[in-house]
Amino acid sequence: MRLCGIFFVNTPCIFLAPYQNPMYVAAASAILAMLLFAMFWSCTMDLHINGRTYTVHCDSSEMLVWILRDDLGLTGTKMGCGAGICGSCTIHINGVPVRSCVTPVGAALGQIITTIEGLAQLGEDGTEILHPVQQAFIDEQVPQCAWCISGQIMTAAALLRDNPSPTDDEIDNALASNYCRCGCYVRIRSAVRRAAEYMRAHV
Amino acid sequence: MPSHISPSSEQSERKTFSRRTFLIASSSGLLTIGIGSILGWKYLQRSISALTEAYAPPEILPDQPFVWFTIHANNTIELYVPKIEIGQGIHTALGQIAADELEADWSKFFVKQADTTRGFHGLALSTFGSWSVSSLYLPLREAAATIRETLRIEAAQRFHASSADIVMKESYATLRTDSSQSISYGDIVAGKQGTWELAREAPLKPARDFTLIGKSVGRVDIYDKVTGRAIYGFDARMPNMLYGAVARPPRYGAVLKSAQAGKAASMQGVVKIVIEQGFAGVVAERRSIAREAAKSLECVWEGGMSESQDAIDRLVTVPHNRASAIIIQERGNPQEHCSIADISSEYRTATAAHAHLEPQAALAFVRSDAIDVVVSTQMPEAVRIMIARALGVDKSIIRVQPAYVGGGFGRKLGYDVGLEAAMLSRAVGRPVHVAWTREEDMRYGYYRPPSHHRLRGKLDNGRILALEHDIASGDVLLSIAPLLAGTFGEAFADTFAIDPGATTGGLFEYDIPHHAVFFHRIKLPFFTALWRGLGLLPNTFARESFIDELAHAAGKDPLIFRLEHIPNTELGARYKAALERMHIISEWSKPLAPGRAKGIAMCVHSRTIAVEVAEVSVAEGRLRVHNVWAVVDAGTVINPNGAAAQIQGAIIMGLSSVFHEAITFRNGLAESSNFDTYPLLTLPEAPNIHIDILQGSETPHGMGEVGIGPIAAAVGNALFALIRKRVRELPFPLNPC
Repeated sequence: MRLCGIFFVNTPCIFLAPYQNPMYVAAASAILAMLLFAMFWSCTMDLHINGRTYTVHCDSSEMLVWILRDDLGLTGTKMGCGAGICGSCTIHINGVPVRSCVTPVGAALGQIITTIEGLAQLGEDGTEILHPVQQAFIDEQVPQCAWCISGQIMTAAALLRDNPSPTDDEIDNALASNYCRCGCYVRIRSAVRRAAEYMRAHV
Repeated sequence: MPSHISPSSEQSERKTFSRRTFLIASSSGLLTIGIGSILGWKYLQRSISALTEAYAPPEILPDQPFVWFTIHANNTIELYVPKIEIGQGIHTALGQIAADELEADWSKFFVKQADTTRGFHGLALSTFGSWSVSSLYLPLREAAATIRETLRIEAAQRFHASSADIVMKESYATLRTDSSQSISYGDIVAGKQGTWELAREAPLKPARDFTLIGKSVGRVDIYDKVTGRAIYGFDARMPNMLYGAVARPPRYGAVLKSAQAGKAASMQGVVKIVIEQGFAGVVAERRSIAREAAKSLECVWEGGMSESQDAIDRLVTVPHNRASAIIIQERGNPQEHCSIADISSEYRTATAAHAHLEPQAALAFVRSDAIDVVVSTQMPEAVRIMIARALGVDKSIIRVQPAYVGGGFGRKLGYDVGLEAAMLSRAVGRPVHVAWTREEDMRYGYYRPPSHHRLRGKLDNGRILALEHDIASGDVLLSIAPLLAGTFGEAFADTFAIDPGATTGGLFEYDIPHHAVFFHRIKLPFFTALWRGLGLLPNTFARESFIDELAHAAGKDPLIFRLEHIPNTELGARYKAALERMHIISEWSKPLAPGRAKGIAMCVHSRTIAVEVAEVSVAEGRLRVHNVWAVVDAGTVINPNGAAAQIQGAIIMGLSSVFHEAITFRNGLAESSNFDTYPLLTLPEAPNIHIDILQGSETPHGMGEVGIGPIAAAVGNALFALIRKRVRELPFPLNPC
């Protein structure tokens, strides 16, 4: 098992890039949750999401996915299993893909959170410029029901930032814990390849 | 002066719009197979038509075409579609059909989801069975053509010309002889004086003039889906809304006898504890609190299922005598020949969950005079009917807005979560959102029924002389009859010996002198119902694997063996073309790479034929599927790329059943409650998929389910070709060698 993505930041919490083993993620996150529950309690918190600061009032043990979706209305982050397995809820914290359904909000304090809503950029004329992965998902006509798609795109975006020219195996491994029940896998693979081309072309 | 055409501005205008009975037509084949010998013909016919009425009444499409369209002064056109976007691309396909016939500008054409107030019969919104395109293809074109011709007549009057001199194109009406004389559809509508009179003649475009039908245009929902803006039932929000959760039993099907608030009453953030007949739930300010409180309710449960998996397996076994079996297909005298069968095999398939990634979710706001529901559903009318029944209100005050659905596969034909949200909302007078957890979704829904198959075959001179297939399965289609038709439906389902859903894909389409299919209906202690393709995957797996067994026993190439048994019928001709095409694209007769083998299987569903070939290898005891080829004959294909997506998806979903999926029970409850013990197929396991879509007849057939049929048998047959070992169960064992 590759423990890539585990690193320490200035608050005593661990962020996981759960590329590999969902069971590991679930177990580690449960321990994390218990730790954090003891350390923080219900309070008012500032969260930095997509370049904005939001103030929320809740238990710091509450999972981030619910803060994003229910408190802040950022419903682009989806919720599939609540156990860190399916990957629908994947967001970035400091650029690293994490499962927001098993990440307590306390763990995100002071960190840079990016969700699917914050992935595209605004051009000078105010038009939306999609992230190359989003554009590639359109060009390959990937989504069907698309409940998994935010998570797929966030995971792929993180992969390509770290590895601009992934092999097919690297793409498969990076997205191995992002379920797609509609079965768009063949197109996801093509779209990530295509996104890598777009990104290389723009460097 | 109307600024746009909409149903409300056109209430008084009526034209006898040809009413269609496509839903009946397309379902009757399904419903009339296997008329049992137990009941009299007349009773059966009456029962069938009653079920069909409840299921898909013939007159559910609107009388007048304006229900479908709203044309704005700025020349944008909205198409309101009754069918729900579950991911199958139906909004795009219906948009293409309508815009093509209307001669509309696709860049200014927007597809909207109709809610239950738009003017469609509620049941027209039901979305399942691969029927959406095939059932709406002609009615929608007729509606669009009527609007087109109505606008043409109006434009002709403006230009003082005859209608024949007006060219309709890209949402403009232009004078043929003077192209400077042109007016947009929007301006025609905005400038209309008086009331509209619909065109009496509205010929449909010939296929050669299609501009959008048959083109792989991009999905209309895709931008919102890659930016996270698409709103699903789980995403629905209203000001002032609260969150609800419901207590669940420790055994499947147990009934709530009594409940006490217990410590939930004192939990901070709990707004109300709702305990009613057979129902206990909590409304709270936060979702986490509602869920925790619902778990802490002190409930007493009664009855329910107690069985464990061994009992289910015993139950789902083809009995040795056929006293209670129904013959759903019979030709010649198979029993005589099969009593001395050359080969006899048994197949078994597991119970499976739908595992749509968006758990059941609904938002309801109940007031005394109006009820609003936003829900992820494949059948809004069921939500409406059940809320009306439970709350004792007239269903006319209930508006159901179907949201985008995050995967349905048949499960979201259920109404449960919408009803729960409504009951909780009524108790607090505020909007309440209920979303099931993955655990609830996996344990308290309904399932694909487990099945057991016994096949016997007799060869004669390298050909199949006789073949028998006994299918034992739980209900699929009939299990939803009680939902729609109440106690009548229940009684009806009981009197019916055959389940037209579970037998889907069970028929032999081969030219075999003596053959028969027997159906053994099994009553299970848990609810089994619609799951992508109904019985298509289990039945095709058993049949096509067994055909492969016979081919090998006869010493024949499995593809050639199938070709030799193609009947001399229209269907047979289509099968033959698909098999021959497959022979080419899969390079069937070319030597294989070392350690690889190919297997083939095929089926027909909702008139679409799918032939699939899988190429596999085995390394360290693990089976791997490298390539899948699919040849599909689906008649007229509206959007080839969208159709290919459906086939790709169905193949992946089928492979997930091959490799992973089995719900097992322990003491009356599914052992798996999440993906840790019920994994789905992942990206590294996904093969390359090569799809060839044959352009067939002039009408579109179903696309959503057919692809799932052959894949399991194709993989099993390939595995046999490789290691000479036959796998006869779904899912395959972890180490199939």
